[in-house]
Amino acid sequence: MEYVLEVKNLSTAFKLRSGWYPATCDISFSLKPNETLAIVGESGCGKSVTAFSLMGLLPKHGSRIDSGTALFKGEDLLTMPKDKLRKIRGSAMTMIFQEPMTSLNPVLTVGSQIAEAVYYHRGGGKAAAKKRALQLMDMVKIPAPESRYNDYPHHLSGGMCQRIMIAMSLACEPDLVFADEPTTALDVTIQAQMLYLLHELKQKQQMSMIFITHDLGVVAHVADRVAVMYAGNIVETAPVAELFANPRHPYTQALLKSIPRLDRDNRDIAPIQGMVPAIDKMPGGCRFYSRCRKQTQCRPDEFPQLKALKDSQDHLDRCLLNE
Amino acid sequence: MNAMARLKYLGTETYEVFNRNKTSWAGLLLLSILLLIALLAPILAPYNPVEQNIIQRLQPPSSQFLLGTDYYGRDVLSRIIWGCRVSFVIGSISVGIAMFFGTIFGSLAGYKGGYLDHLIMGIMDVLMSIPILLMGLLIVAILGPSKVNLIIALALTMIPRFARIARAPTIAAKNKVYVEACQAMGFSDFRILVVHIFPNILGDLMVMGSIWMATAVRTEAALSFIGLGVNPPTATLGGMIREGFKDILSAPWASLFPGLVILLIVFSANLLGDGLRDALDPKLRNEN
Repeated sequence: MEYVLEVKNLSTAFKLRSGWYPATCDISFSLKPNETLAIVGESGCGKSVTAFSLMGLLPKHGSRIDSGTALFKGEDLLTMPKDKLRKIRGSAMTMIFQEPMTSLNPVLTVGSQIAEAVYYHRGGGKAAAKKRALQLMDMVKIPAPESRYNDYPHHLSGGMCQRIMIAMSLACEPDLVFADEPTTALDVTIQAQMLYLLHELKQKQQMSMIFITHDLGVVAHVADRVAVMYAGNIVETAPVAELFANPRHPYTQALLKSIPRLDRDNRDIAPIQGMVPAIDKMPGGCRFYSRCRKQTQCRPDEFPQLKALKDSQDHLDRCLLNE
Repeated sequence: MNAMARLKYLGTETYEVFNRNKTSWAGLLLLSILLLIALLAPILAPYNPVEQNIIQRLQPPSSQFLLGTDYYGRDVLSRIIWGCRVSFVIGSISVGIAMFFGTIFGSLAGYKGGYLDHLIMGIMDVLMSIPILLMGLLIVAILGPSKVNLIIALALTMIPRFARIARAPTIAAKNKVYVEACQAMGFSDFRILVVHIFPNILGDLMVMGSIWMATAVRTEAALSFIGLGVNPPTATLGGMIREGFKDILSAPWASLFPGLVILLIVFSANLLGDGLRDALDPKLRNEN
């Protein structure tokens, strides 16, 4: 099997008062074993919705998946029975959340929460689960796991809580981990530690990762491939070095231009003008058209497809001008 | 070891907050004394509570009858002691039943939401629209006065209260990230509800339990007072007030003392409830 996860044409819609509107549409990407894909984009562009759709964690009311397939180790996540998906979730496919302090149950000890993940999916007795939990706590570099085991989440710092979350999600040696902005709520030094830890664990455990973030600095650090999302579409995807060196989509170019950098003259920082179109006012054509600085050369009514560039098969983008 | 450590930790923290509030100690102390008295009724009561003695009727409090005797010459103190026992048994069993079913209904409605929520809470609202005393009257009138029927009546009126109390924090907990994280870990709904949400709503339930215990005791007394409680000659606090009521001007002790005991039970249970609320509420905890 070549890919761990192969997503094709995934569209997810949400219900607003006036009807159903697609939050993401035509999402396609694939993930090789031991590869990290970073999904970047601004708030509300559908990064998390994509992850939640694949995990089957969308709210039951007011959301639906309109189309698409998502083959996870050869099986379609979107059509499989709920019980089967639930068993995969938490064992073969897990998620690390953004807010470590609130992602742990405040009334249960951190150790027991890790042990529960082990016990629930692997069985094998409570004592064995505890032993494995301690081993995992050691693996995510929590000092003196024995004495931390019976601590409650509010005893620990944000970084420590995130280590616990990571330990929980790695408990059953998953093939795929979704990391939904795992470093956003942490301060920068802890962020760096967390990225280093994730990188190290990924090497050790041979897992693939989908890293959702809006921080291009983090992307450069962790990713093998990058998918840039805008207004519910993937607008460009490429290997990380290629994307930073040779961005092709106007949105990606504008995004990279808008970041202050230490190693560059920052006088030419250019913010992107305008706003993301609202979900119920999506244009029929290119969704970036109204903000694009190459607007005058382009056609507003045609919806661009995600296509490989002529000069590089591994680099895809969704722009009429590059066709 | 793990469970013990957890209990110990929760215990100490709760104890510390509980300890700050002296009135909650008073409530606990008073309620424990009353409970102990009720528990030890066969040993403590100086006379048989149902044995009549016409010669000694309506005796004022004296060294022989500490709280006097009633119309049938029965020792008021002994009857109060046995009456406490009936009140506590009915109060705690009915609260227990109501808490059990109320929690199941309420947390299920809150967690599942949608139609199930509307259905369950609709039924609960209908039940709740009937005043407690009226509901008690209705059921006892249909099924006839007895201890078991009284418990059923009280439990039925309290189930919607507990359902509401369980539903609100369940909804609050359901939308917390840690429940989402549990779902992401693939835990079943049943497990999330029992292992992860229930400990978070237990505090609210305990507080409501102790406060509704007072109401249950009060309602039982009220029903007994209008003659729909436990059948005479069993001693109940409400029944004693009723029996002593006709001689209230000439022999006030026969109804006054049981009334005072009802007041003590209700008061101490409320004090305890307030203290528990302060101790178990994490928001109040952090403030201190």
